[in-house]
Amino acid sequence: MSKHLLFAWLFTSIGFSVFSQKALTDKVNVWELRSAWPEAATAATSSTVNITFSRSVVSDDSTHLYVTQKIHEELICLDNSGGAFVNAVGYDDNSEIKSFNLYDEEGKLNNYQALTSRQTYEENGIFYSDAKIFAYSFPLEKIGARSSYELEKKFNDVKYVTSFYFHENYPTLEKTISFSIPSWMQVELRELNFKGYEISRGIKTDTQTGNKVYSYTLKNIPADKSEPYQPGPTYVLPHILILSKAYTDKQGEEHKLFNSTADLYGWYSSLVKTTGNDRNVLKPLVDKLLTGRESDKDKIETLFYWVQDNIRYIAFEDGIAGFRPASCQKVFSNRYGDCKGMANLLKEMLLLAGYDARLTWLGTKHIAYNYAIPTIAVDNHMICTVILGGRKYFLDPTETYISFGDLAHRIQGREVIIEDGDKFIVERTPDFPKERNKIETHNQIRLQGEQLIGRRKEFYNGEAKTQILRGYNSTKSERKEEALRDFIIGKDKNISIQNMHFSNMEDRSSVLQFDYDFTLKNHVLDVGSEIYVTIDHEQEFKNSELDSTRLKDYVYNYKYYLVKKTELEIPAGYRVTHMPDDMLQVYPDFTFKITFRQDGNKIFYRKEISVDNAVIGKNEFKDWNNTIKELKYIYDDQIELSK
Amino acid sequence: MMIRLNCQSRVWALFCLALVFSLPGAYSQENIFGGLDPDFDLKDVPDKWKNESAVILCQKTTCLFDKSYAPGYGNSITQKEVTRKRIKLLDRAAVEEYSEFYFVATKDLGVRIIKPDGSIEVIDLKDAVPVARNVSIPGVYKSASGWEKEYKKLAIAGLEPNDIIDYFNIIKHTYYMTTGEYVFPEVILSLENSFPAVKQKYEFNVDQELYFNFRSLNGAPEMEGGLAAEEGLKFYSFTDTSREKLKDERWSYIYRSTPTIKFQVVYRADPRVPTEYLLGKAGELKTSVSKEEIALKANELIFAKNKSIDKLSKMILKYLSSHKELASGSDIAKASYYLYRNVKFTNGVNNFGNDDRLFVACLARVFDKKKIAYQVMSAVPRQIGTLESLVLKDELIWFLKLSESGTFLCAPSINANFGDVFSGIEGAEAYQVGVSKSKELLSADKILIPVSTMEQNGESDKIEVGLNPEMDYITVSHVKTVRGHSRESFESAIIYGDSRSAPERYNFQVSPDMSGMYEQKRKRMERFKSYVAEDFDLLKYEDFTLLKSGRYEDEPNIEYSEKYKIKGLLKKAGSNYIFHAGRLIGTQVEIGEGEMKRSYEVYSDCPRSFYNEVSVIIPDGYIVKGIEKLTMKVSTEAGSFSSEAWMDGKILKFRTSKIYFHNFERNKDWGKMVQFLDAAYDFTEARILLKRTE
Repeated sequence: MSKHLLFAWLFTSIGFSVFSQKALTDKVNVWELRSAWPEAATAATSSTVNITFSRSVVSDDSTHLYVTQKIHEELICLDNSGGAFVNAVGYDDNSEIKSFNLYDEEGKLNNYQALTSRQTYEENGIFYSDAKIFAYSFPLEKIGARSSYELEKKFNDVKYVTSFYFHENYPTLEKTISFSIPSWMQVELRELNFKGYEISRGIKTDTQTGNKVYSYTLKNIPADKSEPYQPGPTYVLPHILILSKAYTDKQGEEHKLFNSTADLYGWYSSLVKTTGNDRNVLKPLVDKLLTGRESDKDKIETLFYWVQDNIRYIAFEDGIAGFRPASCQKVFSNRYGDCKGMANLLKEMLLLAGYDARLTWLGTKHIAYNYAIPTIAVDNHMICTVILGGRKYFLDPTETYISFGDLAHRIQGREVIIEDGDKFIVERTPDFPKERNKIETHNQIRLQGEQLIGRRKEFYNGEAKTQILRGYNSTKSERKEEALRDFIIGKDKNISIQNMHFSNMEDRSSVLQFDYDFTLKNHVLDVGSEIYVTIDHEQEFKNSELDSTRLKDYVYNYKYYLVKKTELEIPAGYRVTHMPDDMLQVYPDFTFKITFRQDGNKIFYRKEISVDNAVIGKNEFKDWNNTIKELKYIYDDQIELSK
Repeated sequence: MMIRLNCQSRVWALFCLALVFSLPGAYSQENIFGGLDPDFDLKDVPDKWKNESAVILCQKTTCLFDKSYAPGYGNSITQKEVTRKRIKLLDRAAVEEYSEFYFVATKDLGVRIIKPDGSIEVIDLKDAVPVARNVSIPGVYKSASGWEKEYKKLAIAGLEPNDIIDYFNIIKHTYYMTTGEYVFPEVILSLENSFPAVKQKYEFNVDQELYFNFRSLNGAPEMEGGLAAEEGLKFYSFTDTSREKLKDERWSYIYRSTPTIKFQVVYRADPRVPTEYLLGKAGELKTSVSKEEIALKANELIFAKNKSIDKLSKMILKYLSSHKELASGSDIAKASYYLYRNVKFTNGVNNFGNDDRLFVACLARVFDKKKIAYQVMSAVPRQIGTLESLVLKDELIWFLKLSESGTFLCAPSINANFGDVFSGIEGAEAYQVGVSKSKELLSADKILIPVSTMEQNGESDKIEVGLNPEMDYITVSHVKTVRGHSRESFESAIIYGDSRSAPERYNFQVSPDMSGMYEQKRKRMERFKSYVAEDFDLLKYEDFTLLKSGRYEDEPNIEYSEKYKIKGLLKKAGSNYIFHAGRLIGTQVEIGEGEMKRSYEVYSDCPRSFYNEVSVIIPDGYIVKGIEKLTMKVSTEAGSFSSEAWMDGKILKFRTSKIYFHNFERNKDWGKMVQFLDAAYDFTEARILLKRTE
């Protein structure tokens, strides 16, 4: 035994059962599994997840509720790559991994072959959190090799037990998730995304504990394949949401947990009350910023933009800090904060300025739930709402370079709860139409030999505008001009631009504009008697055909709306002998319109493309792909000018 | 191990060899900020750098290597490095870069912000948090050796443009010597950083009982000092001022084109015991290496006592004795070379440090037994430096030269052939050390390793194209031949994954596990498919056949054929089609507008040539117009691109050649490269018209 493995064995052996498991003697046809799941290196032939609610009395008036999750999984190797099975389970300050045991095919304890480790884990965009992973791996090297393992995780606080999923990143022949719920515990098991899956349900009573055991079984579960631009898992994968509503202690007294949204808000609100804000620290700044500002809009805008520009988004989600905002004075002094800290600072600044500003909780579009479901899984973001003249303005200071009145796509149309003392207001953020993100380009071009030369104007709004401003202003000074050129012409060596003018790159309220002269090579073919011209060299969406075998909807980052107008001057002595076809494809979620018109010595090309709701559903893939094929056909066609 | 880095990523590299204990030093809390260091008086940015993102006002690195002895513990060396940087952040990008500050978890650190009004805010370090393992550490903070695994990070509060961030960190380790030799890692670093530097200073306090190699090159300041300092130490330093920032330019060797320093410190218990390191005298700065020293090292290398050499040379000799047909010196040398390659990539034999040293020692032993005359060679790869600037052991590459034929034998890569020279030493000077039959050294002479020719390296492609009747895709039948050093980029794709199943003519009868062969072929096909998909809109990849693996000296080229269907090269033009024929030669180097200005010399591995012969069967009912667009010719002193096209009945034929004449160009000649590279790029944009005749 190597030293490495010895340590692993010592580590994983602590606190483990010494009993053997039953041998894996059930007949599994590995070749059938390989044929069903050819890309999988490993499959689970059986997987059970048992969740049990328990309580322990801490004192006469305090009860500790906890939940144990026991996983037992039997695995089989499906290829000869000589690899290992590698997996990980997440935990945090409110949960712990109690044990891990590996068993061989005979059912004998085999922990010396397992490598386990506990590691901190950083989620994208979170500077620091209490999230950790328990990683485990063991050899599964030859086709047909089998092993099983048990893992026990304990949740020390019931409100952090939110949901359980069937899918793993490897296929599973059969998986059962069961919940053992004592009579003193009120839990609602909310079944989500079950439609389309044959999930069998069972209820029985555990004769030993008297607990009701609710079980859900799903067979032949493919690996959850990560697909680019996929919706969040809460939209697509079948799962069970745990709504812990109340419990009764041993004295028979009932205690509410999250029975309703009011309970959820009550907890959030209790945390906000302990923030310890000292807004007076901000007063000199607010006074200074608002000097000479007259209108409400001007004042609110000034404070909103100051937080955007001067407070960096750095998120600490360490334990309760994941739910309680940092104090306004701390965020101000640090010049950084997470969404809660930034929202709280902005709220306090607005209050100092005399406005009715309030903290606001919401889930971004990544989460499918709304506030009808009382769980902490419903939201992941905080903004600030200012109520002015009876109207609510939603301000998200984490979105740099967004203008007052605008909202990032990710928080549009979302249900929010706005603080209102001991009560709360449920609202919905506005859902802006595609026009908010309009990109418009105007080209006036003519031929010069085999080059196209002309002048171009570009107008950007909404999401595209904020992205450009953000990118430009975060680029190193000496690279800014080059970065702007790169943005405009991309990596296309065929274009060169001159005489570029652009609008104020700090101004987030106006339309962002560029205009410049350009020369375009290699898009004209002159064969003497005829000239062939590619009028649209950018050919947006040309390569946007979607994989028809894709399993999930395709989710764009935001609603897209492009209008492109080009005027091509026909050279003297030439006539138009061919123009590509027009195109008109209008569907509920997307539109493609292209027209070519000749008027006098000019050809007028107009293109309009929109992805109206930022999602192309699976059921729309066929129409979408046919549309893209037609688009490519038009893009590939040329204007023919003949002498 | 050699560490190559530039200043901005410089975190001291610490190692412990197997028998040396490394203990972290105490958490020292030295107050670096408290001292009044005149080097850090600088506050202003020179006008020429006002538009930079940030400017290093001053950075200073002070290294201590202090040997001591304590009863019961024996000899120990304390290594300490204090690094301090004062950087003026001029824009938001710089603020962003420094607002999340990473540092090695166990080391001392101090960070403070100097505001434009001169007020100072000391950053509280208690809020530092551990960095999760799934996070990659930004290069500027990363430990160069990779030895330091645990990092912390800190959100720097209150940072704004025009602030100065002033920080230091201290790394201190004490190593207890249990072996006769302890070697601190070699360091090579460019004095150009990611930001321009007003001033940078390096100081070394080195125990007089230690060996200290140092060299500055390419205009880096010379080391000064060497005077005895306190408690048996010697003090050295140099100061560099007004240094421009590092430029990101393709085909550059930064240690050849930028001011660079290199150094190493070594401890030896007994100077009489031979060492493979290039050491001078303890307590004296060593800045060069003589040919006599190289001759001595060559001698020590070929007579080194080592089990790996014994085992491997005996295996080869045993094989040779059972293959009497291998009688000539040339046959024996070839067999020895390929047997070494075979065992290297099947069993793994390397526990003798660098592979080149094992190779030389092992084959020298075989050649001695078989009475084959040879010379021991050593050179410094062009990417690092020259023999003239040599000062560190690992700069050298060792290889052999057969006296009779003059063939060079370098430690093989998986696909290398007998006589292949490592491209990195072509055109470099090398020392040639003769060895007499009585095992006495004759001499060490300098020779120039010849540069291979443009014809020896490169690729040749034969491409046959058919257009489908609906004109919506084309079928391609492609045969590629890869020559010389150009094979190196294909090696990992040819012998994919499991080197045990590589075909061999000479082998030790190691029975390779062939179970992975099918999988390897499948993956290889997938890999070549992905290469095509990078260049074209791939519809279907139909076949890949490896015709020649290029693993034998009589068939040294890699050759393969493939068939595929691609879309996107035919564009409708009314009833005609525009055929993007130029694209068939594959993606070419694209020199962007920002690359036109060149600061550094242009280096590449070797001269090389790329040829394409393309045949396109034109479907009935079409004629070709615009064929002249496929004819180009650009030739400069640096290289050339030419193409010609013609019709052969119904077949459009064109051939192209792109040739890099040299493996080096002066920066002033960059434009001469751009000319032919642009021509090749323009060719890929060339289109012709397929005009309908019916």
